[in-house]
Amino acid sequence: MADGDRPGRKAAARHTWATRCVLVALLLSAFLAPLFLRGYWVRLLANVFMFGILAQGVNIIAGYCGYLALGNILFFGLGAYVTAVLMTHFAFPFPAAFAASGAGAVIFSAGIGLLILRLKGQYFLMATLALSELMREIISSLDITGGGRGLTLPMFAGGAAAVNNFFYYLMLLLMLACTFSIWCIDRSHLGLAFKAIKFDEDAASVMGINPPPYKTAAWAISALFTGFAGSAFAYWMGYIDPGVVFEITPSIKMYLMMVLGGAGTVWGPVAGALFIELVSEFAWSRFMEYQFLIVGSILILTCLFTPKGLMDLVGKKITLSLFTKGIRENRI
Amino acid sequence: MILQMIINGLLVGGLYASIGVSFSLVYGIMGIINLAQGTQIILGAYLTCATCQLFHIDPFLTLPVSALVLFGMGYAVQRCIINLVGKGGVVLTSLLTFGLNLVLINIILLVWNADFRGVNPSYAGKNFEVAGVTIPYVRLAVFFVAVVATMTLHWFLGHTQTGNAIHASSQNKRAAQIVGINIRHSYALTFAISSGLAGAMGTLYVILKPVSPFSGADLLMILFLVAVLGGLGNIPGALLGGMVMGLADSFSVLCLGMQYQKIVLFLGFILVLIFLPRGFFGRRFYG
Amino acid sequence: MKFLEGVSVTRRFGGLVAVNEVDFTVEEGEIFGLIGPNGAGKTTLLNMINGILPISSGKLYFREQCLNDLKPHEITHLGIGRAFQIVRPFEGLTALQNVMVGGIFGMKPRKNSKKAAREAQEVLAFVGLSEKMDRQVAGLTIPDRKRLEVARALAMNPKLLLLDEVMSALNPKEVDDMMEMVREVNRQGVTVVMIEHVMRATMAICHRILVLHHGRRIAMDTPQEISQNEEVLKSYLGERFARMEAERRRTID
Repeated sequence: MADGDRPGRKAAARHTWATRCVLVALLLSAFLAPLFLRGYWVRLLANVFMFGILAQGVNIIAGYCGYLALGNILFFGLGAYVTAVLMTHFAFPFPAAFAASGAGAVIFSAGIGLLILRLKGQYFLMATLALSELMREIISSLDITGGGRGLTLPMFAGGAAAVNNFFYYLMLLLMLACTFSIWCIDRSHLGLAFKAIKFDEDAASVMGINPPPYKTAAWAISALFTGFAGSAFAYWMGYIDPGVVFEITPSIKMYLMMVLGGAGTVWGPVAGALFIELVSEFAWSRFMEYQFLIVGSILILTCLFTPKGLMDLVGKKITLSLFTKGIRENRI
Repeated sequence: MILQMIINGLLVGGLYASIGVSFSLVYGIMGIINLAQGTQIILGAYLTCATCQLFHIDPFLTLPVSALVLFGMGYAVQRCIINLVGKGGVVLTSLLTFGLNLVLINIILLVWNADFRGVNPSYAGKNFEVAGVTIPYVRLAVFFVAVVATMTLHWFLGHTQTGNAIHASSQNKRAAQIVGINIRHSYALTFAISSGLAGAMGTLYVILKPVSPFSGADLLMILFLVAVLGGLGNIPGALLGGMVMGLADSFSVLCLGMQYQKIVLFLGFILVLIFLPRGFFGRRFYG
Repeated sequence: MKFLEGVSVTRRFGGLVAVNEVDFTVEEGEIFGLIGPNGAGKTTLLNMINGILPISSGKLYFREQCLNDLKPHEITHLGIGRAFQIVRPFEGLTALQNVMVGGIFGMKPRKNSKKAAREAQEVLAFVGLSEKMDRQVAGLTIPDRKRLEVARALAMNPKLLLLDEVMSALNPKEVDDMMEMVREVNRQGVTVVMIEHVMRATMAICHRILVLHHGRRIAMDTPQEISQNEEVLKSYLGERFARMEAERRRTID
């Protein structure tokens, strides 16, 4: 390395230490939070973590691999229903149902992936949307899933505080596990292959990467975590119905969180989840009639001014041109 | 009985076809997936309801209102918003149009509320009979208007200067610019036409069924399917796709009952994407 | 054993025949040129060798192995590297990372990152991009991107290197540098097939040249023979150039 690099390297080293300290501080506060906060906030944060998982799930398949699975929520619903059915009709304990949900999501994504991962971008997008709608309709019409009326799960044993805390930590750990996986992927050959496929699949294949197994792996990992989140959600809420778990709004919110935070980054979607969920909650409680307007506007503004996400802004000088960069590059 | 099903299917297919055409147009020319299309149609429907209520005129006559309002909105939206990220790729533009979709839904919710609304022209229940088949006047009228609108659009694109300019913009942006075509304007015009058509179809749609602010999502699925079947970007193809959709709609109700209709719709869609590599006429689906 | 061989290779796009029953052979260790007017089918032929386009009829053999039904990544693993005409670097990755992709995945079994990084740095030094290796691709100039394309292909340790117009849009000095680079690569044992419009370069460094016109082969010979071939002259080179070339060779000899 040239000599001139050294001051830069020192600054980079300081930067890394600062980041690490911030990260540790955040983690500590996350773990200790339930001791200090009221139930409402604990539940809210648990929700944030859940969306963090969903956003990270989308991050793997869309942010890293470039395949816009707009209907990814289908794994959430699938996971929720697998757990609900197993616990309600077959008396499975939660841990077993949880594991089964994850496994089911992976198997389903691998199977379906064989058929639809070969489709070009826009068709894949539509196919996943149709798939999530299809899943919702099928579940609405089966008896074992309670049809349109939904399913009520066995109650979680314990008082309100216990419930809040259990699911707070469950979602937090799940989100950290998911983020850790992405961190590992980001630095590995797998991640490099994903990125190559995203940027130019044909060129990647000429470079020796065989896309199908990699794409399948990406979607399977995404499905795994999304399915786990669905399973936890079902047990948490105690009641699910097709409308709730296959809703399209969370589907889009996940994407918004990923894009706003930074697609293809390790922590971006988590930051995005925090921001969007807090705004969403605020909008819903104060401005219920305007909630779509608010979320929609944030989405539009994000696409226009921070298409690479907030993570991209970290460490850069905040100037106006930073925000207009997206427009200057993408304008027709 | 079968004949009745076929006729029913074809009649509604005309409407589906036009809806698919407006989506296909924007995708074919600009490569943009307009996720707000469903709600644009619904907005046209609501405008029709409002105009009918205010002026007590026949719903068909409100068509120009919906079409023009949406045309204007479409032009502004494309020119001032979507054009800004036009080269950003399918991801970005799709997300952007979804944002617009949400905003539009909220606007409808604010101006009118969440109730279902419909219009009832005085001749709504009247039919005529031909060869044992009952044809409601309303459905026949809807079919004609839809088909005429689509054919006019097709003619416009192929045979007028503006139309040719739009085509050229899609084939090769830089070449079109060199020849003096204003791309930004062409794109805005394309989106405007698509929106205007959608608005007009909204008028027709609400004559057949009531709508709510969230009905756009169902329509979105239908128009995906029609556009894809006909080959994204292919207008005559979309017409055929619409007919097929209409027929499938009809027959699935007959054979499987209402509750399975949607399942057939979505499953059919996925199967088409997987096994029919070109829709009927379009470009390959596989990369 | 024939190194690279094409037997009656044909590619049809609907009614259009882009490559029409072309026979050719490439000897191991040579620099093989592929020329012809625009639309003659050169890139299509290269795409078929790579596996990006399926062959409509005919056969392609690389070291006696039939390439017809292989996927691109499988062909790459056989030892064929490719630099694209319209450069396709992975935007969003640095130059070093781009080259590493080729290094890591280009051969079986996959190399580990450290080795790939070291070799990538060597390759980048070879093409002259050392100082720019940590730069994002978006910040590279056209000549640099061309060199990056070649670097990516080289990182895969290919036995056969396919180059598609790597010298277009370069100024004369850059063309000279690229010519020397291709010669050096060849000296190290890599067989090169290159599509090129820059005649000066093609004539100077190629051992043999294949001329395509409207998808058909009209000549396959040494540069000297080609420059005197009447059909080639008529369709592509033009008489004046041929005369100049003949003059130049006479003064050298």
